[in-house]
Order: sequence, then structure tokens, then C-alpha cells
Amino acid sequence: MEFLRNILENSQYSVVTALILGLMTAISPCPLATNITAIGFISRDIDNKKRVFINGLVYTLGRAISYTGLAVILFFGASQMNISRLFQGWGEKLLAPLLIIIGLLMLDVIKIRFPSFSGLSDKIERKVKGSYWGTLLLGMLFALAFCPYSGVLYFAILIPMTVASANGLYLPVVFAIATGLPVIIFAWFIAYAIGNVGKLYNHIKTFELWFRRGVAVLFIIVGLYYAVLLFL
Amino acid sequence: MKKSNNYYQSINNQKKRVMKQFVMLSAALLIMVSSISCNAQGTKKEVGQNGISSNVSVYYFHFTRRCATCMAVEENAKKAVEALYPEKVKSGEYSFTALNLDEASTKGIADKLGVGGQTLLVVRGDKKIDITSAAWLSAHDPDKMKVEIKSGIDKVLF
Repeated sequence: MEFLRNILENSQYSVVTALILGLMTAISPCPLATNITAIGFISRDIDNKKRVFINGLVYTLGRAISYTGLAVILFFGASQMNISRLFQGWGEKLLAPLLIIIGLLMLDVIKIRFPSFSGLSDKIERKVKGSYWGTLLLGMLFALAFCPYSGVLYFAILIPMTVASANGLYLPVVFAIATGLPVIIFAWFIAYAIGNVGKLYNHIKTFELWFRRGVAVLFIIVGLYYAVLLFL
Repeated sequence: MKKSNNYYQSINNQKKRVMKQFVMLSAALLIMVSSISCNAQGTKKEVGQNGISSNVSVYYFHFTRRCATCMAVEENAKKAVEALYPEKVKSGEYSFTALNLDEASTKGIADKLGVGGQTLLVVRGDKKIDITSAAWLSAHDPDKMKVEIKSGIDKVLF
């Protein structure tokens, strides 16, 4: 972190600053937990290497949409005070219930017809592959769950650079790519390592089912972690 | 004899007139002084209410849940203000205040200063300097923090 901070202080180019800020966000404890959850989520289709990797990219795209969307709203004059207070104050608080609900949906404990999170057993039986919308949505939501540290990096450092001129509006995209970089790297790694492990199993469906259940439990555990952090 | 009586009477009358003038002048002076001090008190009160004063306030706004860096910012910024301006902090001219944005009592001042999230702000009268980003990058370095705090305070002073 100290190394990244040094680069940041000496950086002359805003693109480098945005990149470093994104990396600092990605490895700070709180977004790291959401990124680990995301890695679990995007690797649920482990029998399809390419799909896992694309999931990683789509997740990062989701993050980019949120970060850029917020920056555009602020650029066009929305009150930074209100937006910042809303997301820094509530983003993290909503994360715990959100993660637990997603986990329960994936475990089929709660049954709601929702395109991306429809019953996993149904999905496997029908061999219907869900769209990428779930992953995109997850990236968008996780990006908006600002933690105390990432909130400052985004609202206090990146946003002033971004809204200074229209030329700066690409910076949130660079920032988002950097925040999603660990997920992209792990997606690539999982796609080409665990993907093969999955294929070793004779009963790939059974493996996939249990893998997905594991991911669902991961969501619930991370959700409970946030709940304990925030409400106890 | 009558002449000398008249003379003493006129001297007494003169004395009375001088005394009367002196009392009136004193009363006028008293009214003036008290009105000035009342005005001064009124101004002081107004200053206190609006936060418009020559005093320098360093505000650190945060939420209930904070990261390790956030806590280091508070600790080192407070220490920096106290170490840089010990006399002024003692006299109350300079102050450091940490405020929790999750508490309803903070809303008023946060709205007034336009604070939406974690912020380190140096305020003097109408002037305010946001040193959040610099402070976050110096969070764990007390010496760097002193430089940032001093630079922020210098900017609101001049």
C-alpha cells in the first residue's frame, strides 16, 4: 500500500492516479471481501472456461458503469454532498442484507423468479445458461457499496479530478478496471485451473451443484461478516 | 457682608453646575461604554452561532464505521494541530473537532459546510479548505500530516 501511495503522490498523470486509486481500492480489506465474493459468483459456470473469463470482464464492466454513472451525475451538477452522503452512508449498510439474500436465492431457500438467480438446480437440469445480466448487476451493486476507505478514494480524490473537465470522464473507467483487476486475474486463473479440475469429475453436474452451493454459502458468510461489522 | 454672601452663593452655584456636568458626562460615558460592550457581546454571540470568526477550526467528519486509515487521519491530524499551534489551541483560537455524520446533531454543521462524507476541513470564517485527499495520503505519517495541516491553515489565514 505504501508503494502505491508513493506512486500516487509523485504521479503527474491523472490516468496513472486513477489506476493507482483503483488498485488501492481493490486491495483494501472491504472491497477485497466483495471481490472475493464476486470471484466465487463468476466462477459458478466452471465447466465453461471462456464463460468464467467473460464473467470477470462483465463484472468489471458493471463496476465501470456505476463509477462512471455517478461521475456523470456529479459532472452535470448533482450535489456531491447529497450523493456522497447517500452512498458513503448507506452503500455498505445495504451490502450485508443484499449478500445474504443473493446467497439464499442461490441456495433456493428463497424462491423468486429472477432471470439471473433462478433456482440453480432447475438451471442445471435444463442446461440453460443464464445471461450475463446477473454478473453485470453484481458489479454495479458492489461498486456502489462504498466502504469508509474506498469512499474517500472515490469521492474525495477521483471525483474532483474527474469533474474538473469533460476530458476527465474516462477516469472512472480506468479506476473501475483497476478495482476489478483482481477479479479479472482470478477469473482467468480459475477458468484455466479449476475449470480442468471440474472436468476431472465423472459427475460434473454434481460437482457444479456443490460448487454453486459453496458460492452461495460464501455470499452468506461475507454478508454475515458485514452485518457483524456494521450492526454489532 | 451681603456682597460676600452673594459671592459665596455664586461660587456654590458654579460648583453645582460643574458637578452636574460631571455627573452627566460620566453617565454619558457609562452608557457609551456599556453600549459598546453590549455590541461586542452581541457580535461575539453572532460569531459563535454562524461560525464566522477569526478562529481556525479543523473539522474531521466521519461515519460510525471507520477504517484503520480513517482513524489514523483523526489521530494524526489532531496531534498535528496541537503540536503546531499549542498556544492557540490552549487559548481556544484554534481547535480540532471530530464529528460523526451518523449522529443527528452533526447534520446542521455538515449541511452548512457542504460535507457529504468523510472529510478533513480547515475553516476560518467564510473560508474553508478541504484537505481530505492530502490528509488521507499522509494518514500514517505524522510529519507529512503536519505539513498538510499547516498548509491548510495557512491557506485560510491569508
